[in-house]
Amino acid sequence: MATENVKIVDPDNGTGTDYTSLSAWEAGEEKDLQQADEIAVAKCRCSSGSADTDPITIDGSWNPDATRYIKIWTDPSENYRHDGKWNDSKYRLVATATHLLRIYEAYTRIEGLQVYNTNTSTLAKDGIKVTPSNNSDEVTISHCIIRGNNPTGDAYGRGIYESQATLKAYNNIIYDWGQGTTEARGIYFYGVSTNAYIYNNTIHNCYYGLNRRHGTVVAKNNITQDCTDGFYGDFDGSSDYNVSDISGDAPGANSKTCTVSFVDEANDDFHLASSDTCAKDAGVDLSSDPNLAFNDDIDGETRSGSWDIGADEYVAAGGQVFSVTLQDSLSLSDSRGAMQDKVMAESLALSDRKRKELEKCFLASLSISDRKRKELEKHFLDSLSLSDTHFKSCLFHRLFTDLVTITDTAVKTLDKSLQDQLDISDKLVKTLSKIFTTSITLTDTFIAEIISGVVEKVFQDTLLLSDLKKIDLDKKITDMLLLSDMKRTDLDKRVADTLSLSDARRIDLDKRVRDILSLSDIKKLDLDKKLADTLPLSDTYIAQITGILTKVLVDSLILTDRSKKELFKSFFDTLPVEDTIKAQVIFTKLLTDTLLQLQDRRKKEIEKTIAESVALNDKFTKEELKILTDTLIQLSDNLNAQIVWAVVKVITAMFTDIKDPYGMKKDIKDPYGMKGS
Amino acid sequence: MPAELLVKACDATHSNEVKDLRGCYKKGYVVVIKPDGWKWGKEELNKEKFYIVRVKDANPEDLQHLIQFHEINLGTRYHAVSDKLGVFVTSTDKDLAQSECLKKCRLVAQELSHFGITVNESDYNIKIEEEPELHTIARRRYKVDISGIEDGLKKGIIEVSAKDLKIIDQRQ
Repeated sequence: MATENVKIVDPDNGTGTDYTSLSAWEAGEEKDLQQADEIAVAKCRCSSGSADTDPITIDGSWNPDATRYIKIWTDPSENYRHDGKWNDSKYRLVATATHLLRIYEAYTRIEGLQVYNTNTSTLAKDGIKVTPSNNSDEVTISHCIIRGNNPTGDAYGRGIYESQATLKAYNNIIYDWGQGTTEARGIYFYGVSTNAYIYNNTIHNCYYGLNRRHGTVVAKNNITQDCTDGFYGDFDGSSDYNVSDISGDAPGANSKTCTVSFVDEANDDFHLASSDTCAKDAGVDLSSDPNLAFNDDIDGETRSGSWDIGADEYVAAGGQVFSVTLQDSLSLSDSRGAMQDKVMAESLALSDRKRKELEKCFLASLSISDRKRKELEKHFLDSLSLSDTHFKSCLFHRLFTDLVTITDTAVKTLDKSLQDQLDISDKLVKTLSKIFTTSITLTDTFIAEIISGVVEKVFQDTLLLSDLKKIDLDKKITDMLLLSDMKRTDLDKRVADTLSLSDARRIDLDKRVRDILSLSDIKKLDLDKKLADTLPLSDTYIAQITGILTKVLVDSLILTDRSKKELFKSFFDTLPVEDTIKAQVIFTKLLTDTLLQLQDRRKKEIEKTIAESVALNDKFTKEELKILTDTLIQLSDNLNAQIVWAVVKVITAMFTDIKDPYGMKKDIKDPYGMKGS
Repeated sequence: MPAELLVKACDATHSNEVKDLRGCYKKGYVVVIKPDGWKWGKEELNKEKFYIVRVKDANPEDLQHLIQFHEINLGTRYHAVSDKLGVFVTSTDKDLAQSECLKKCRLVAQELSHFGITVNESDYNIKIEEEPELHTIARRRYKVDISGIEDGLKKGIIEVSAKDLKIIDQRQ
């Protein structure tokens, strides 16, 4: 059987406080509960009414199971639990947070807390977020009041957010989680393949009251009021006995659409009013429910008879007595039914009045009781304080006197002891100095010896190692040489093989060269033959060209002769008669000599040109030969002209002293443009 | 107004990496921040559990960042799935996911063989899927480096100025 490890959490640090915040409790108490075989219990108080203002996350090394679990609660037998309505003098967790109370651990039970997330931002925010690791991890939330701060716009507020857990939530009041958007929910079921049992909760003023998105959600005996959509999503078929103020909203055949009358809705008191006819006695008895059985309400009052729907079970003062009376009355005859009803109504009215009076008396008594208690506490504390002061004063005086006496004696003793110790200390210092000096000398020697010894040993070891290494290296070299010889032999063999192959290759190549040469000879013969065949053709060409040239030359000469004759005629016509014969003789002789001389030279040049032409013959096409021929003709013409001109010039030079009665010397024409050449 | 920090004095650990990083208080983590003169409870004054550091020149509001969380990436997660045999394995190690899935498939196939159903390995049809979203968790972003003042903290409350408070940013 696991033991309960109960710690007191009290932000006011009252008597017996272990932690001043739940957050510190979580950090200080987290341990492997299975290993410790413990149930971790945080019993929450607020001895002076202060709120716990630190958000808390239950996570880490807890490792709980079904019998070694985590329990955070307010003990109803103490005076720190709310009374079914938000109460600022009772234990409460109040902060502006994303997740005010986040539960990552399975088997966590939250009971009787007031949780108020004051966050109004548009980001996500929850009162209690339940996200353990496995869908089977059970988390129970009961008897809690979970408030939002009426966030507007993109509210994203969730009173309880469930994911990856088996959530059991009952007897909770959840309100003001926002009407702004669809993200505002009283309880949101997000976990896929999870189970949730949501019984007897009252949810007020949220966009969605219960919003099932995933998982199996069984909703019974729940009230949703003033929500845009009270029950949103597909709930399990066993869901029933729910109430919504929206028609057709609450799931279950026995569910109702009606407006619940609360005691003071405007001030968030969601106890059922005596006048309520919607939720009262309209629920189902869940005291034997196989999944979640209980039989009380948010105030801890026992539910009986036909259960009320919602977190509160209406119990009128003396109501149960009247109930019995009613049963008895109902057993009377029908004829007395009307009388019974009347009596019943009067009784109820009386009962209500009585209850209110009693409540008033009770509250007054409580108020008196509280005042009295506070006065008594104050007296008690004052008494304690006075008592403590007096007692401490007497005791202190006596102790002080004793201490002074003792101290004087002790001081004297200590002085003497100190003097003795100083003397001893001086002697010791001197002795130690000597020992120290000697030690240093000895140490130096010793160190030198040690170093010498160590060095020598290291040297010897090194030599030994060196020898061993040398032997090893010799062996390796020998092995390598042996391997090298083998390798060399192998290489020689491979070279010989290669050479042998090379010879064969060379012979083969020689043969191939010879074959090629042989072919070359054949080719040469063939070419010679082709050349021989070509030569006659060449000769033919040469003959043709020579003939052409000869003809050209002859024609040129003929033309030249004609021009020459005309020239001479013009020239000689200008000469005086007596000079004409002389000039004709000289000119003829000169002309003849020059022509012969030039003809020889020209002939040689032409022959040379022809020879070159013959050599080039094979390379020229007929067109090229024609061009060549035309060029030669032109050259020949020019040459003849030059010759004639040269002769004229010579003659002109010779006859410089010859009279020129007709001014011909100056007007000698240059029909071939030779003056500038 | 000075502030007092309740600082964890020892490590809590969990074999599960996610729970260890996300939920276990480590030495130096600031648990709560209270105004100067806060009356601490008995267990909060237990030096084996907590130290108290008084920051003389900072308001509690100025130090709220010390209890912030930050997101850390635990790496890509791979799912090895055999639809045919209904086997599903998740791991941050791709090869491990595949090999574990294969092992499980073999076991399933072995069981099926008792019923006369033969499934060859070639029919396991194991597919590897990479989780599209990063696998992240929230962890405390800061912790106080108390190594230099721990001896003093063991004796009682130590007062420091905000600028002398050595803060370790665990994102770095």
